[in-house]
Amino acid sequence: MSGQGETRRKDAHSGAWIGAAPDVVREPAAGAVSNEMANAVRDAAAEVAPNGMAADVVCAAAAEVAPDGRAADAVRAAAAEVAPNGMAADAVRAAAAEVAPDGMAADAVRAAAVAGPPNGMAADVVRAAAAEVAPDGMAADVAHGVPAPPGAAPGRVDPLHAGERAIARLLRGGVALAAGLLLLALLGAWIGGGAIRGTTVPLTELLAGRLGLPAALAQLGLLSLAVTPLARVALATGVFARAGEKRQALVSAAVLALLLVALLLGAAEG
Amino acid sequence: MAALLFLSGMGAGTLGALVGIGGGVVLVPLLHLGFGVPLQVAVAVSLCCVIATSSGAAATYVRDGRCDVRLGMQLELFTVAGAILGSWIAPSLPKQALQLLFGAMTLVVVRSLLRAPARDEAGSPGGVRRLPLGCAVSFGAGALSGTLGIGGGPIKVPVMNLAMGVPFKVATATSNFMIGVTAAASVFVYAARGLLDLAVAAPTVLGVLAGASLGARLMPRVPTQRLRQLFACVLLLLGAEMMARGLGFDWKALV
Repeated sequence: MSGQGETRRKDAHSGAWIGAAPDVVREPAAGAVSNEMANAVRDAAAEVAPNGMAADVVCAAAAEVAPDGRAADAVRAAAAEVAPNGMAADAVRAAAAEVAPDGMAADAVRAAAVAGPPNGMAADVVRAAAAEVAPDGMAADVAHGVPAPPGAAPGRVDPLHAGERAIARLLRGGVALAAGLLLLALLGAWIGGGAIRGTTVPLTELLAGRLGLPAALAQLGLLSLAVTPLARVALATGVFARAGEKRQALVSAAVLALLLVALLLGAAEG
Repeated sequence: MAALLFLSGMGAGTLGALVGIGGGVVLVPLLHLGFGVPLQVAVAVSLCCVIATSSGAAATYVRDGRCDVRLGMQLELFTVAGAILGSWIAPSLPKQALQLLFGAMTLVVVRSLLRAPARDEAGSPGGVRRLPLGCAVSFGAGALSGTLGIGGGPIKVPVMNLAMGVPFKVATATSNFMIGVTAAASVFVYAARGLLDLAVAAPTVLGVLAGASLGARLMPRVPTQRLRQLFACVLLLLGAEMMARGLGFDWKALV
């Protein structure tokens, strides 16, 4: 750590070495050629952040110098080297959560797991980091490559993970359908030279054509949007049941039942 | 006007996706005071926008493993139960006192949020802490939501982060995952009453969907502390609104 003293002096000169740390890291790393970015971040972070600041420093540096998909490497290398003493969980969690925005959190943590802290803490560290970066169904995927918890079936496709992907697809589908219908409604009104007119009507009247086409499309769009979260709860019930999580399945079923009660009570009031 | 509504929705959707509160706190006053939309219609449109924010952002958050689906479902159970109870007991609750209390509480919460370390130390490697507390608060948030006219996000996000040890970004993403469900139950009632103005809702909701998608992509890139500060600003705005209502002040007098 010959550079540590030098870095500290620089920061003392600026009067605020804590705030300046990311800049210090960024400076050498920014000039690195692409395949040396990870090394630059790691080396810089190791020098300026030996005392618990690893997470912030790595975050700031990696986010700026490794925006092109190299975040995983940068985070893995930096976290493994600057936090060998039990702090890896914090560093990996914070860094991966911040620098891996496009679903790369799993990659970052997985890579960190494989590299791992050198002192046998890999399992605990990764489990803790994975639980926070990927707090739910992704944990199994994230923990790939490290000792599995007792009772886990190695290599098995996590049904909860698959279920969550199904939930995400359902949400995306509902949103896309609603957006498409609303866009068509607005375009229809614009082409017709007018505006959407009217308020929501009962389905029977909608089907009878009481509303004009643009307004009918708008109502259908809003309806599909409103149904999406309810469908999501129903799907979650099935997902948890299939994954063998009876308690969670019961919770989801209870949410669905309460929602139906709320709807019935609201309809009775209305 | 449709373009302005779209842009307003986009702003509210982006903000809502970032801080996990649905954007109603911005949209209702904006639609009512800015666009002259009747209050009940503004609330109905805002509920649609909450669903749009929730579904639009949660699609990304769930895919990326950023929200805690298990925790979300557990807290949602208590929120919905609280909301049902709240709808029964709301008339007998001291509304003005609760508004003033909520307004005062926001100051305490904002102070705690801003004093939290920049690094998300609230996230505990051991997982979620104090789940019973979170469930109790969710129940209370559900019960109060109808009385105070707020969603559960402004209450649940700080509790998840400060009390339950959930990292701030996971808390906002999980809140986003939850808020659409309770809003959906209410929006059907408003729609059945014919209070959902399609001319206002269509462009606004479309804007919110675009904004929520943008916010969900932006969120991982925004430093946690900046998000906390943004959340604190929104919470202060909401607290001021609650205090004003509790004191009988009419914002419309200023317009």
